[in-house]
Amino acid sequence: MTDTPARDVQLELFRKMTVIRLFEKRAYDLFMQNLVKGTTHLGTGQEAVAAGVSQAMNDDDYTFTTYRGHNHVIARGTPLTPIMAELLGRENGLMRGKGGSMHLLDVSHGILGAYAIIGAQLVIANGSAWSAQYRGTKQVTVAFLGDGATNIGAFHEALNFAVVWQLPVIFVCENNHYMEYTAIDSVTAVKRPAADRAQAYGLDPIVVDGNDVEAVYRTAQMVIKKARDGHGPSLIEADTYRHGGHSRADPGKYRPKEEVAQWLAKDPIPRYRAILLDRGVDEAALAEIEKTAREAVDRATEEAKAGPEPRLELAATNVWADGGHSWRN
Amino acid sequence: MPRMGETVDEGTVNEWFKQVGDEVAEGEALLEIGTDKVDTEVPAPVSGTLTEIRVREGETVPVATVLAVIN
Repeated sequence: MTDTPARDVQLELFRKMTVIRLFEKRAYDLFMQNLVKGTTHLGTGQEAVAAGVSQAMNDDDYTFTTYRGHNHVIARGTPLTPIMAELLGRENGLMRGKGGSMHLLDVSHGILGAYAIIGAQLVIANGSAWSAQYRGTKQVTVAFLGDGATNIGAFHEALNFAVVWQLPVIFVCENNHYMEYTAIDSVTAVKRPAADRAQAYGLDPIVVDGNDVEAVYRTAQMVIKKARDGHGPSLIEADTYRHGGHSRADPGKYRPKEEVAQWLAKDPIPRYRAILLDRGVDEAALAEIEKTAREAVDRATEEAKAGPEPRLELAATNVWADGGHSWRN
Repeated sequence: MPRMGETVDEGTVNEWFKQVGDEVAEGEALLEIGTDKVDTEVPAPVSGTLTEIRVREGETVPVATVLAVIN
């Protein structure tokens, strides 16, 4: 018998996943209408990982994410409008329309960036964790990665030094079983691309059902507490699946139809909805959460569309912390 | 016609999976388009009746061209 979180936490987990799903669906629709600038990588199907991990974090903890990072930013509480506006390349976007989907950042909600270079965020996350350790703040850093990043050198460098320095950092691998167009198991020497490697650095091989939001939440709570108490880093490999292709130009046809169907049947949101109903949660309460989420996504869409295109003079802003932009050696 | 890549300015209708008069459900594959970047299915953005197909199979049109009408 595992501990069930309090009812308000259950509803919050459901709410976060619902908002993310609807946001991603809207992002897809806006892309098909040619309103999204550049590409995007959707986290549809992987919502439980972002929701479960973020729910176990404190407000002043740090998140590092990847180019598939809308999930993690939404889950930390960043308002939807600046995220959507950023996708649309508008001045009211998080990065004033200059970063796009792959480069979201919101320091006010602990998001120290989305990184489009595979694995780059992991070593930088060590720096964030080291800073908290040095300052004695008890803040924990969570760095998300995909399965493909586990075959990148930076992943191994980051794990090594995180352990050497006993940093308060959690690496969360969302193993969705495919890199860009390649099945991870066809190019990886071990069965569990993240967890099996973690053992080489003295970490426990933690694997969790990434489509079970409460399992993710419990696991994250455990390792975050350990890190906060000064007992060092952990790695979680969350088993999950992206419902769509790698990016929006990708129909994902390299995946067997039966496999896709099996994973769709394990969709984390209807699965959790059914669990909540089983536990006696009022259907109307869930419907209300869904309605509110739809309204929030609609509002964010309208506010993002109403945002102006970035002015030319903004091109030279946000370069140096002091506001300057001239070349420095 | 969606823009399937930042440098992709046109697309070709490869195949219609539905005919005029058919009912379509939101999210159901409506047609396949081809570009120099990728061939991909385009799902119906809304549910309704497909009342008009404006771009036939094999035709190449600029992005943002209306391909069909669903009522």
